[in-house]
Amino acid sequence: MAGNDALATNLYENGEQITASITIQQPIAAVFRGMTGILELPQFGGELRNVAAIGPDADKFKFAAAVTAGRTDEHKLEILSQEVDRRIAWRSLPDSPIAHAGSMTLRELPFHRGTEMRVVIDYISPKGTIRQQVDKTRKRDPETNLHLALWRFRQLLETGELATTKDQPAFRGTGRDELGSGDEQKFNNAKERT
Amino acid sequence: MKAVCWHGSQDVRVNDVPEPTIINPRDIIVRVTSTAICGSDLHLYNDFFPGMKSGDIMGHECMGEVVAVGSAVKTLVEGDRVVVPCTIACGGCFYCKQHQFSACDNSNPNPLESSAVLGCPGCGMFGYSAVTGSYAGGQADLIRVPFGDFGPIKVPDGVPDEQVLFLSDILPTGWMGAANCNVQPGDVVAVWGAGPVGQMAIRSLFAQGAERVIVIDRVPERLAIAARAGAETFDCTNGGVYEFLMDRTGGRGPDAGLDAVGMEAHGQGLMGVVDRVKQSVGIETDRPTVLREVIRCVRKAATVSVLGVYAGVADTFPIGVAFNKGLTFRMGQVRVQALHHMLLDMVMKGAIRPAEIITHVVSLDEAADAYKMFNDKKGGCLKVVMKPGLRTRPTEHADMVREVNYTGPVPA
Repeated sequence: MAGNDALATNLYENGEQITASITIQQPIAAVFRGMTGILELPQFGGELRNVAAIGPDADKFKFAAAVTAGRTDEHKLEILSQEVDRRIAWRSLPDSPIAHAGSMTLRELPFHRGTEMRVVIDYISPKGTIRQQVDKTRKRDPETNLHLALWRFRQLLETGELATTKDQPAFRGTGRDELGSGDEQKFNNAKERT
Repeated sequence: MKAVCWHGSQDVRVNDVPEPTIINPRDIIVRVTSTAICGSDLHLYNDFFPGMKSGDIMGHECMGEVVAVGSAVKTLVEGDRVVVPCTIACGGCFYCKQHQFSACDNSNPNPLESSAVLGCPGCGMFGYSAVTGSYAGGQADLIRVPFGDFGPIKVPDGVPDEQVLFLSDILPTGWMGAANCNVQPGDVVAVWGAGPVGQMAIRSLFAQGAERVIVIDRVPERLAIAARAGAETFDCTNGGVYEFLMDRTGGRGPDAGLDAVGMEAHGQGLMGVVDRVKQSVGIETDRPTVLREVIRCVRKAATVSVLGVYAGVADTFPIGVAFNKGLTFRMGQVRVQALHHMLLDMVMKGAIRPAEIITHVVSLDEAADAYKMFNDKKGGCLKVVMKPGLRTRPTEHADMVREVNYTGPVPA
């Protein structure tokens, strides 16, 4: 475990922290079930794939995460602790592309107001790598990405599907909208015109 | 299929586009039998609302026949006749559970765009730019309706489209705006704007017990239609609204004021010119002429109900007057799904007759002319209904309108 002691030191000295919270209109048990099952959800933004346990240990996983079109990273994680209906903590294994440690904590709200979910991730910013270039083209900071991931997670739990307008009919001369929803250009155009 | 597509400022065209398909398990596809041009479509038509892309399909008021359902849809089957709400709601989130459907957390796939422009991630809407999710609109032969198992309302056969079509937007909008006025016995309510939504609000206000409704507009034909519903009217072409309202309310001012105009108000005087210039150079998105006037005219401790669409920022908002009068402001996008069952019942009983505001029924092919006519407020145009199934120009519009203004016995 020398590699992960090194991770702890590295995160302490050089890490950056991102946090995001979301409230999901579901009982705490359903949210926890969703969270532990998340790696098995093929719909989750199409971003997580090929999830598999590493070796005989059920607490170590690897999965592929899409970074951008035609490029995926293989991540390897280790579950550090898991408290049912309360908390999950994990950290990356040494040969994972982004060194990080994270936790997800749940709290049920009174009067059927749903479940609060808070995610904290400490990571070593992969600046100076190809990731930096990728981040530039995506124009989204890690915190925004985390918010969007939680937002999609909530959607799946609350509605059973992910709202999309990809492949909506429109007149583009050639036919379908090639860009799909969430396109950065549209976002920027909208901002400029406001 | 044919669809009305946006191509820029005051440029809509009927184009051939691909047909929609079921994407998600809760989707349905509806063959549109009737679709209307909404006053808020004019904000897009005049390019005042951001996030439209050339070729986007317009329209958020439509109804028709279900022709396909997704695998998770258990509430509707092919052949059902439905009215599609303009706002899309999932039915499962915090807001939907509280019947605040237009605040739905899950129906807008573009939360970043929506937040950047509107200040919060609003619900999804049909045919209303990337800000509300880039959903293809209903001014088309076919429309894909997400969360089709929750939003659309089934309507019985036998009742004409035109009597129930406005359940999709303007009737619930008018009703909600009236409800937001918190009408008490004896109340006098002033309504700014006698467009389609204002007309629905007038009828709703009377249904909710308003003693008197005073309507302010500049278009004589619209004021005449409002008068037919029992409203007192004032033509504000030459100003004088404040003086008129004071005169008609014994010097006190209306008990509630309803802004059914929104961000494209035609202001008079210097302030109106200043707003126009600011909006054209982009330092102000909304012209709050009407809102200012409402605040000035209503009595102390009145309620101000805002139905007209505002998108961004407005200058010179008289917050001091509003504070010192102790006004209550209520506003927001319509919560269609909270109201349409009750309103369908009222329509079926003949207690409210939304079709009486229809002035033009045309085919989808005539969309460009219809938009222009509605935008210019010419030809007595108050509400245009388009029939995607109708491919030839009707020879006598007046006959069509008479036919849809069905006032005979209502089928059970």
